[in-house]
Amino acid sequence: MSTAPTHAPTMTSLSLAERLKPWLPVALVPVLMLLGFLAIPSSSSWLTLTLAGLAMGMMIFVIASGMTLVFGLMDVINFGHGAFISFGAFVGTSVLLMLGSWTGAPSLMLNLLAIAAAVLAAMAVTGVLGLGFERVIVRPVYGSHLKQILVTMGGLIVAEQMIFVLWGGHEIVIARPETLKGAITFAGAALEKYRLLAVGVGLVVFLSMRAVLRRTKLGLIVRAGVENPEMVQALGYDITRVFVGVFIAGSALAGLGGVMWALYQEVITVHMGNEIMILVFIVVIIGGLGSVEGCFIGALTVGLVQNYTAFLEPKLALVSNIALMVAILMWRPMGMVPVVKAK
Amino acid sequence: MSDPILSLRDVKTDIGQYHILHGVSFDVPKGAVTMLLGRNGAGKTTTLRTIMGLWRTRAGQITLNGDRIDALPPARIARQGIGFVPEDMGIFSDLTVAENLRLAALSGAPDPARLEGIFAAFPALRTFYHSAAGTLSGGQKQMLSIARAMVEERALYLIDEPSKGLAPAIVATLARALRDLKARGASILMVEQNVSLARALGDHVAVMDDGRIVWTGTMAALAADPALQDRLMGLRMDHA
Repeated sequence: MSTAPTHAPTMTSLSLAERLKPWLPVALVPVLMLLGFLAIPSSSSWLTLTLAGLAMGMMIFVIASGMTLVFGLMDVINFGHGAFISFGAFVGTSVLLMLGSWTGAPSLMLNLLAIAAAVLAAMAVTGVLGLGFERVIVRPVYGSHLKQILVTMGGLIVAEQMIFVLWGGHEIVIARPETLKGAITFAGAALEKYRLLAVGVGLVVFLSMRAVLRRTKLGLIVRAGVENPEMVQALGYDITRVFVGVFIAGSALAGLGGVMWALYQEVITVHMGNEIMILVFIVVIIGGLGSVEGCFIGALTVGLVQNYTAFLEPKLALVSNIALMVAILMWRPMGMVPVVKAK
Repeated sequence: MSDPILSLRDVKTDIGQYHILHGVSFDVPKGAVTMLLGRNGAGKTTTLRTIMGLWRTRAGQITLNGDRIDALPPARIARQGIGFVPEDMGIFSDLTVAENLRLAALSGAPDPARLEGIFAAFPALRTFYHSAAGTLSGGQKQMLSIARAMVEERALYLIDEPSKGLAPAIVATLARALRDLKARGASILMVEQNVSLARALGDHVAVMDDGRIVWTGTMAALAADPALQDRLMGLRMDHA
């Protein structure tokens, strides 16, 4: 065999257009905000609507992020994800009602402590429920999408019936903690305090997830597993254990989202999780199945479009997100941040 | 032949309703390169995937250093010390070259000295160390796939058609790296259709046909017998 030549590659610089191409989805949110600014006559209304859209988007992101990872990692379509939202909301609301003296006190510290206790309880319960759900309902149907849809929908119905048994069928009204009621005024716009908190929590969840996925070995395994779980196993990592961990974390995040949504709407019902799931599915699909970054951009886009449309053309609000999904899938059929999957 | 590091005895594997391996038996000696040869569809890739546990055996035994591994999940088999380079390279496109290598280092992070050795063999991986692996050329992806298996010392390397679809210059680079690996005393089981590469690297040969081993022996014996080559593989090694 002849001597091998030195295979020393050289790099060429990409054109500006090529370099910007992957960032186009990231630009979607600011572009939408700019379009909203141009379309909405009053800047204070625009600011209020933008905050409402971002808060709604952040809550949907918190709920959807676990679901997109579960789909990406193990190709599991979990229609039962809404059960964790409802359970989280009911557990969190129960804790908040029990801590009525804290939520009713005019102390930000006590109010936040009450919310933290509600969130922890909701995440713990939904995390444990997620473990049971994975073992009993999801594990027997790996590899079969049709069975997954049927069985996880069945699981959702069972979970909703459990809520009926434990809390009754009536809706429960939950007031926001005292210091989170009302709004602050900024540049003439009324900015709801709770929405500001929701944006903050959503950002913390996103940045934490991104840090774990980008900077830790576990994150590396998850990202690699989303692309090619078989090869991750062949490298020596038990992907099933990783999946169970992600499923539990995703369920707990849905529980957190349930508490946030409960305080956002100030009322909870047994079917609330199921109702939110329509938006969650839209976000997961337009974001790119398995992509946390795509899910984040998708959630903010859905939140902003819903709020701007409801203000500008209320009749179109009902179809705005479906239209958004169609438009984005025509632009990027695999979603905004497509995940490469091994064949 | 020295003590085998890997032994297969009457291994049968089904994929769905199809019987692919019909009782495969052969040994892979320690510290040598064993070539698994045969026509397309003979069951070579299925044999490697069965050893890795990616396809489950229906019957038979697979032992690594005398311990049975055929009932273990793939992750446990890999942790017994097997480095796997699959036919499709199996690189993670969304991860950078650095992340691909870090993932393969079960101890945490790649050893810097070992990494330097990898860069010496594959300079392209140093150049594109922080680039997404999906942006690499086919040859560079194959280099990364082999480098990933080499990032830590392994008891055995399973390498599936490393030269497939690559330009001769890249094949020569890969051959040089594999020769270095062999010189360090590595045990390698390799599937290879490129006969000149197989002949240059191989010490021992197992030839497959229709899901069975039909001949085992030394590469020297096979290379010296054109009639045997013709009968087993339908080609002459000196004409390939």
